[in-house]
Amino acid sequence: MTEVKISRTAGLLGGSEGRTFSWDKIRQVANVEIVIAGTLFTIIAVIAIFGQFLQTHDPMQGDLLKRFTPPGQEGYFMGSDHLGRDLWSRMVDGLQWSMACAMTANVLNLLIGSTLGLLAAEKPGWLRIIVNQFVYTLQSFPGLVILICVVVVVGQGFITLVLTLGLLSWVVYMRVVYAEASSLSQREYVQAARLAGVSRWAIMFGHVLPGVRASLFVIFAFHFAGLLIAESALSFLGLGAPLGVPTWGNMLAESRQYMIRAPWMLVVPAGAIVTAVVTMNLVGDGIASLARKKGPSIDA
Amino acid sequence: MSSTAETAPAGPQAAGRWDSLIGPFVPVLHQLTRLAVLLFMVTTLLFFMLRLAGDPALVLAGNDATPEQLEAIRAQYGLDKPLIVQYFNYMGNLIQGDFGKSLASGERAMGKVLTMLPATLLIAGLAMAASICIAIPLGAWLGFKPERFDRRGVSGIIFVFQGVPGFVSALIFIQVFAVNLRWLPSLGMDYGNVKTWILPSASLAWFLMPSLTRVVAANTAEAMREDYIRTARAGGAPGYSLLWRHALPNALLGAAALIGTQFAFLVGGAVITETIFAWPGIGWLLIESTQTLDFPVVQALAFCIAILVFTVNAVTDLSFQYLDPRLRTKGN
Amino acid sequence: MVKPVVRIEDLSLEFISQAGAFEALKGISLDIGEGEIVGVVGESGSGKSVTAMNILQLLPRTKIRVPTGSINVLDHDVRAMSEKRLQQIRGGEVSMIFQEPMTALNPVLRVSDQINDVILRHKDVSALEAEEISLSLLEDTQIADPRRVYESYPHELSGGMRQRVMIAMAFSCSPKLIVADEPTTALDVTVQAQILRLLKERAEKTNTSVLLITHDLAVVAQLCNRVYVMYKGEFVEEGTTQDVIGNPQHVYTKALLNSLPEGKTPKSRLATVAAAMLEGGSNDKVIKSPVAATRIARSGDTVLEIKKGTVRYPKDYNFFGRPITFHTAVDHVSVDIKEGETLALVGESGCGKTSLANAVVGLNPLADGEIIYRGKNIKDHDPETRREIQIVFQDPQSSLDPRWPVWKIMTEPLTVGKSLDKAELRKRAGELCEMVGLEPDQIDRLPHEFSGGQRQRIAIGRALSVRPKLLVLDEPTSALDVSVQAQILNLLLDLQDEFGLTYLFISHDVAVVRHIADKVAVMYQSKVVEEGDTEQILSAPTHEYTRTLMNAVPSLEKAFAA
Repeated sequence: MTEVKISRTAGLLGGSEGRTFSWDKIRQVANVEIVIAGTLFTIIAVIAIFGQFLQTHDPMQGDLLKRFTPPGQEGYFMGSDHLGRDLWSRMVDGLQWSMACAMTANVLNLLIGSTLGLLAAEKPGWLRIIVNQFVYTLQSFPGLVILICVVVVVGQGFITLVLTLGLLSWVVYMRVVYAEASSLSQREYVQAARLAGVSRWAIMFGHVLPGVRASLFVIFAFHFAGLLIAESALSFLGLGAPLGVPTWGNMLAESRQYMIRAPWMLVVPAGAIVTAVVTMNLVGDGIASLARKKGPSIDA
Repeated sequence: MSSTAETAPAGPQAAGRWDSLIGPFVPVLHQLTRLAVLLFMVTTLLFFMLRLAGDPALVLAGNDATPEQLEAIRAQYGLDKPLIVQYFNYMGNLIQGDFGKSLASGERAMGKVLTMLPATLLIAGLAMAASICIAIPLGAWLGFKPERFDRRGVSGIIFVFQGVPGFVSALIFIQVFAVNLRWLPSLGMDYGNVKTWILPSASLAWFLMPSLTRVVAANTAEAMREDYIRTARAGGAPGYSLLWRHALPNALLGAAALIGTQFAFLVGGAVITETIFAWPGIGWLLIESTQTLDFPVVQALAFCIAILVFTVNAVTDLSFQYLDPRLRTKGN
Repeated sequence: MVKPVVRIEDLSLEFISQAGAFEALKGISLDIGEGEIVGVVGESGSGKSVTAMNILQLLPRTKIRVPTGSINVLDHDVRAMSEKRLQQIRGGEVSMIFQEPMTALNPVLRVSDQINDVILRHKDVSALEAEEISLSLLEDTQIADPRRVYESYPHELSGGMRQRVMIAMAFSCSPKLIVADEPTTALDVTVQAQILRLLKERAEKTNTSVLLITHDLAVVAQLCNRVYVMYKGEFVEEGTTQDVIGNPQHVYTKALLNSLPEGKTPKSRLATVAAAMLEGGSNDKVIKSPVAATRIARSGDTVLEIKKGTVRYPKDYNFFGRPITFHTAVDHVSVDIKEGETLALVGESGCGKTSLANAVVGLNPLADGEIIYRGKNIKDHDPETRREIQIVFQDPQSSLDPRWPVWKIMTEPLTVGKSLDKAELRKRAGELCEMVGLEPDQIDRLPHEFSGGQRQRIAIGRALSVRPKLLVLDEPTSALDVSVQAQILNLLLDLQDEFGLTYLFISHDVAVVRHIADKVAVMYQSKVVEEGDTEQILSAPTHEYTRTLMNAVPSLEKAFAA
């Protein structure tokens, strides 16, 4: 109790928190984690967008004479693989594939999950029962097992992979949006709006949706990381990307036979996956801590 | 609260003898209903999806089979009937506990799954135990004074660990412990040789350990800010007592839910881990049988996994309900 | 003077955060003699809890800085003590009682464990002896069934019971001093009276000193020998309770006493601290209304009539989710309100008064009975007429959308069914601001930039935007400091005067009710037990419960009469 009071008072003394942009404010909220997250995120975004200009070799064309070149030699910045293909260029291709795949699937997840969550929270009744059972099913059944079964059916390829991930892994959004929207609609300011005769839709778009917005950003980042993992795992198992397409999962699968000869074939894609996942987790943590720091204005 | 409980006025929804009789079991019945619906949905969806995937007769007969041979195989397995008839036949058998026979080997599908199950349970159990044994003390230590420099460092490492997907860590383990150091075998299983258990279990534990540690740490940190901790401090309780006696039990009650839900995730992880280590469990079997379109086995597997996850969830739920005094009295 | 148990000298304290340092204590000095009961009274944020926590060094050392001062407990400076020595002092020589009875005990440990822990830590006794001591301690706190409480978990006990357990725990090692930080604030008045009496008796019997931290002057008057008045981290006045309250010297103390509704003429304007201290004085100007045309003469007609209103909440559900047993929150209650009048519903927590308020505005459906508004069942009115009834909630923190600027919050009800442009809405918001005593140029700010009292003004402004006839006020001042409460009460009285509003005022505070209400209905265990003119009911109660309630209310007059 005391602590709450103190921090609130201290916050007030720290100057008025207007909504204007200022470097002071940025400095106030920025910490080491956020700076690292921002830097890594920028690097990944630049590679994802301008990858074509950064590749040193054709990722598909190998030079059999230069197989298993260790990193840093003969112009292979990250070494070459068993067919003499440049690992850096393949890694860049893999990054673009992974990002495109995770981003599209994530947007689909976001749309489906939050729509269903909002509807279930807003319109209690049969819809809620059905959606809850659906969530329960998807939750108590290993996601990867579902994905494997579906991917086996629909076959490999970018579109099928994106659609599978996009249509099947929205539960996390639905669950959080449903929980938060339900609790928000019990808030007194929503009750006051209802008493004043404000319509359901106006309440949903005016009070409820802005209330869950911060959480949606946070989930988007964490879920992005989850989708990156799922995508590369499926590719690794030979179920996601078609064989031969340079994706991180495929590169890892290829590396397995050359672990003694060329450990860098493992290190490059593994490092890429870990960096990307950690970055997205950091971004999620960063958004969450920013949302918390905004203090009473978010999640009172 | 001045609660004046009373039954509703008589009417169609009035509390009948039936309601009061099953009253205490309603939560259990709800769980069982959910399980039934879950099993129904999983079986039905899988049935139609797998039938759409391809013609198992082609797989069974091989590439150079004649149309007549294909017809014969279809007739033998009942694949020539309309899909809906096949479905009802299948469900009928299922209710009697008959999951059909493996298309690949002719064994009973469920029997095949059940012989593979112990291998998975072994590494899943070991992974679960290892995760819990590491995560609880480590999380407690981190959450006790999260702002300290050393804790922040370790937290950072755990954070990075959490970002390493299970299959990547498995490959790294193989590279380091099997290829470079040659301490442990990289493939295969042998019940008699504990060395073969280590890498698969460790890789699987990786799916759970970092996130569990983080949750325990966060819950502990939160519990340390509670009013009852202040009360205990004001009563002269030393640091270790604050953590182990007061904060941690409360923190673990919150983490328990995670252990239950993470089991599903762990089974998913088992698929990848078993494939990587050629560990003959149900995960490995899943990949094997989906790729050969061995429907009965896939169906039996899904059924088995659903029940397994459900059981683990229910058991953790119930046991922690028992451990939490607040829930315990509510149940009575 | 007797030898002091605690002596604080010239203590300053700062909280350090990223936003900078915040000076919580500014050179305070205090001493408590043996067997003395000393009060520290102040409003939220004045630093009184910080003082309490600091005696036992319970504040996180990394987050505070202490530039000057010393704290001596029994002639030893606690600031120089090792953590180990402090642990002996805590619970041994000095113990504490905290405000929150619901959260201050560990939910997973039995009462027995929690008391025994303290005893075993400080006394050289066996577990069996500890159990005996604990049981006799519980018995001393007048618990009817000590054995049962001893074996209970905290959640199985009521708030008052838990506070008794806290008291037993605090006295367990015969401390020299007990620091009680708002020990009764979260309790009902009748329970508060019992707990305070118990605390006083136990302290006198064992010759233990007590430092009582509270915001409530009446509690201080009832309990303390001496009192320190705290304002913004300083003791502005100090002396015997009789002197400080009977003859206050400092302007703040005077203002604080004047802002209490107790003993003032009903419906008179209360003096406010803000005005007295010349800070934010603008908050308390008399409203000048731009919409005076809406003024209504009091007709004396009955506006609202509740006939046998009953509210039930489902308690247990059957398999299909249909409720099978119910909890009756409001049980066949009948009251009516005349136009321009204020009816107060008084009662303790859980008596059903808020459920009834929610039923009136339509947030709860009635299970039985009916609500008649202007001669017609409220259900049969069109939405426009139903908007004539508006509600103001208790907690202004949660009743305003934290993401919306004030102008949008205040004019939200106006946007229903009409499309007013932004300029028009902002103009109306400005007018509403003036009505409720806020500066019109603050309409672009967000709720968290305002103080609690100002937020409550915003909430009132929102309710007024649709020109309601009847305002349901659900404990509108309970979350606020006394001085701010005075401002809000003044505002409500002014508004009623100006617009002829009718109030349904829900409260647990008898002094506030006496000040503002024409009529009062006393609720107890879901029923109205007594109803009538405020003065009559409160000065000559006939029902058993009302009498208990009136006796329990701490009051300055009673304290001095005794």
